[in-house]
Amino acid sequence: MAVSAPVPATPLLAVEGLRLAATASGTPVPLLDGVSLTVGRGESVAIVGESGSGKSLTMRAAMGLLPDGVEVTGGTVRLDGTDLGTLPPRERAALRGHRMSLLLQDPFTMLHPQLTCGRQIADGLRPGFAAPGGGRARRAAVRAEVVRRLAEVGLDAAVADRHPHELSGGMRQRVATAAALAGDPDLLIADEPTTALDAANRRAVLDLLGELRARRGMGLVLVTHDLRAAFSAGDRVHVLYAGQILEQGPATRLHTVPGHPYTAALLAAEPSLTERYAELPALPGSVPPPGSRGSGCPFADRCPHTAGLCRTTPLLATPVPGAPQDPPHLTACLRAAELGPGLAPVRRTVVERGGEEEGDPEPAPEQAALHLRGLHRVFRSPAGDHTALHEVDLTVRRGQIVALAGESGSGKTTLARIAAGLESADRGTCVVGGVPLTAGRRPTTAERRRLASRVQIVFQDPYSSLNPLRDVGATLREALTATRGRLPRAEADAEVARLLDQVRLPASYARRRPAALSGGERQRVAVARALAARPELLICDEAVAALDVSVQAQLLSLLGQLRDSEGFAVLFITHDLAVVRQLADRAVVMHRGRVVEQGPAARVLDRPEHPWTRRMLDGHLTP
Amino acid sequence: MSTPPPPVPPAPGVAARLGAALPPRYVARRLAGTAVLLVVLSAAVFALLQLAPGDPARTLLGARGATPEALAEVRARHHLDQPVLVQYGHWLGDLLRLDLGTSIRTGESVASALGDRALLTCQLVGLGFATALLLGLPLGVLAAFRERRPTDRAVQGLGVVTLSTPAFASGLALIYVCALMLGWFPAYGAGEGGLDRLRHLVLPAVTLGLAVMAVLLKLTRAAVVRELARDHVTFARARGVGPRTVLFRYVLRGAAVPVTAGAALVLAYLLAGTVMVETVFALPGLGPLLVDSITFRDLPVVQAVALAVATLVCLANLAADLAQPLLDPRLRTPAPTPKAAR
Repeated sequence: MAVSAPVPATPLLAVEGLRLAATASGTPVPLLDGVSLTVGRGESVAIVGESGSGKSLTMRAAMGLLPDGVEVTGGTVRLDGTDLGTLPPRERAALRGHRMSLLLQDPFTMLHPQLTCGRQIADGLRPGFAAPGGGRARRAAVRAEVVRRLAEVGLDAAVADRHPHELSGGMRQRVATAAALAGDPDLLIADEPTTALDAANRRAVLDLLGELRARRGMGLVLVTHDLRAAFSAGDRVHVLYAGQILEQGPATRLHTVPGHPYTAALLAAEPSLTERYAELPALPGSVPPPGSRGSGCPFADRCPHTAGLCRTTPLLATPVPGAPQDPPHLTACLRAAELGPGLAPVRRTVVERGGEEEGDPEPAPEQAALHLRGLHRVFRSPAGDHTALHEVDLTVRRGQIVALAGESGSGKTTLARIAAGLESADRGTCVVGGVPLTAGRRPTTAERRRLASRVQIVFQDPYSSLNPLRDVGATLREALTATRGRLPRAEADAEVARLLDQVRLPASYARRRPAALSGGERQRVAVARALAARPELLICDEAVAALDVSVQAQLLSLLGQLRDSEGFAVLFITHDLAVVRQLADRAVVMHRGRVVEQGPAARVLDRPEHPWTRRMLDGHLTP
Repeated sequence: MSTPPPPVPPAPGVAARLGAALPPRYVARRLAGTAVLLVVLSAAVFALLQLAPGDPARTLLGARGATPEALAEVRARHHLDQPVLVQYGHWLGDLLRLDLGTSIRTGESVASALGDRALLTCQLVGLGFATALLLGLPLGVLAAFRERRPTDRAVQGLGVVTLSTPAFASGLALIYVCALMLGWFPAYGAGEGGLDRLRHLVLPAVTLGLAVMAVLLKLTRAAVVRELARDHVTFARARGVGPRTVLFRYVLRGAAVPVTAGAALVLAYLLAGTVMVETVFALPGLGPLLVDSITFRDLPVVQAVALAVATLVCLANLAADLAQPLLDPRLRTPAPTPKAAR
């Protein structure tokens, strides 16, 4: 993409020194500390940051849609030179949709479930275009326009009469895009538009946004925590951390010669599709929460290059030494000049993993951690039967990490739920750690108890899989009791401390409630809870998909180490093939309820045999 | 943009839309369910006679002299000498012909005793329900839009006051202020014919409505607060949908499903709650009749009133059930997901 066009005198969107604070608790807690950025017409700007960095709030502030309890405490937002902060609310509202529009993250909640897609697109159309005369003629004109808008995002006219729940996630995101653009805005802000989608849809939605931006000549802001999405779709990238911009510049430069240790660390923590590393260099710790940020660099506590001055000197964006001037490449790192090329992406050791070879003899069913043969499951409903699993054969050896990859709806989760005894198969053999499960019915209580010591599961969302009312210690003690019976209190406490130590959390966390933990810490607690039963098989259902890059790297390393020390097998469900490369010994690809390909992970990724595997590899975003 | 306009399929017609929104199979299932429920209810009501202590024939004779001839005559008329199932069959058959038997206390037919009173009670409940809706829904929406601000607290406080005031207290207060002091409305009685009846029913209906208004208010407030926090409302605002459209089409549409289900329950509660209001305002409705009949062990009347009230409650629930798929398309065709199958 051409990035050489000079930024005109008045950019489309100019945010300058924006400060936000949470005011709900009386004393304002700063959330955003002087963020500045510009977006030109036809330009695509990415804002990348981990959760808690303030990236979404920046854009909500630009839209004038801040949640209750968050206020602008300084700085300006200008659209075409007009200071939006000085506009009365009514005029500001009139800009939304027609001058600037916002696309949200989750296609499953963004559209109104009770309204047809056509209705929702029509509601955002400019009022002026409709044909003269009322009633029938007007309705026909609106409908024709809606159909044209659907065609623009690559959807069929019939979608207009569908309700959102009748469409797939990718189609919903397209409908939402058409709705966001219905008022023909000059600027589209997309807030994590790809996070809730699987790999193939991710690529398609980013391509669509890029295409629409080019065709309409509009400005595009892409807010994301996904580095690959940011670097592949943004002309320029801003790296936001704890409410401040640490680095900004052209995407290609940031990717190859990062000017800030944080950017370098993020890039290093990203697993690669083509190479497996001995270790993903994970960032220690997590983003400092609002209110506990000092006057210096917010990254100082996690940075490997911190010097004394870093903690006291306020941030100032300076050009990266040796970088071209236009467009500028700025860094907020004090030591950028002395560190210089030391910031180039951390070198990671590439390993060739032996693991299982093709043609190794199959273990006997009782000897495997998981043994599935001819597993079949159909969900019946008045709307039609849905075959979730079609004659699936799968073996997980003891101590092996098997990745189960596929798009959403391919049957991965159903398979996991059957293996965990949460769901029943219609027919087929399922032996989990030597315990056979009967097809056609759920396990009995006795079977379930035996099963619990063989298989445990970690779910995707660490925010909903832990009971918010119980502290971590109580959650873990309960898991211990479930499989080993009631233990004396002192023994149980010692076990809880050991479990927390296993997942690298301090023992003091036993007294914390989930609300006091970050997403990564919660997921560690979920892993500890699963390990309490000392299972032979650990099922991870998209367990890292909701986490930030640095936290994902921590958890992937942890899982690998635990597997080596504890010797359990892992069935790792994911739609991210780079994670498969980094973690798995063996890869299994599912499509529409069938296993279409399986083999050693390196072979499947390097020499895919099934077209669907190739499609998934093509859909993978590369910066 | 000069792409050729794509062909526009016609919008589905009203009949097709209604057919899709209210699938005949769903309606049939709901109707069948209600019918089964009504049969079970009728059996339970019929069992009242069998369960009453003592000989059913003596119960039916009441205070009249229980001569052997009289007992034999009652037994023959009510088929009491036949098996219980046959008795039930005869009773149900009479019921369908609206022959509800004879009142023990007055000797007149139950149907004629019930007729006018049932009409009055229905009018009262209808007006009371309308009052509760007209007060509860707008106040609930208002409180939700002003969540945790003084207006919200005031509205919720008002709700608690009306909920915790017993109907006889608020009824007497209304009579004192609006009837005796201001003279706007009559203090008691049912009035004659159309408008006069309406004038007489205003105060009782307000009393009845106030008592349940708070339930609807709380339901509506909770539903609207939840809707306002949803992504689709933020998204509608962000893409410039007008505030009025956002309120009516996005927020209230979403809140309608739980509020409708709750309203049906409130209606059922109102039917049962008329007794006190009818007594306070000296209205000759079903309430006083029921109280008198229970006191006098007038079983046929008790059975008829119980059945009438139960039927109305069933129908209210049926209406609410049929409204659900109209309001929420996700309930029309259960999607074949693992979640729906579980």
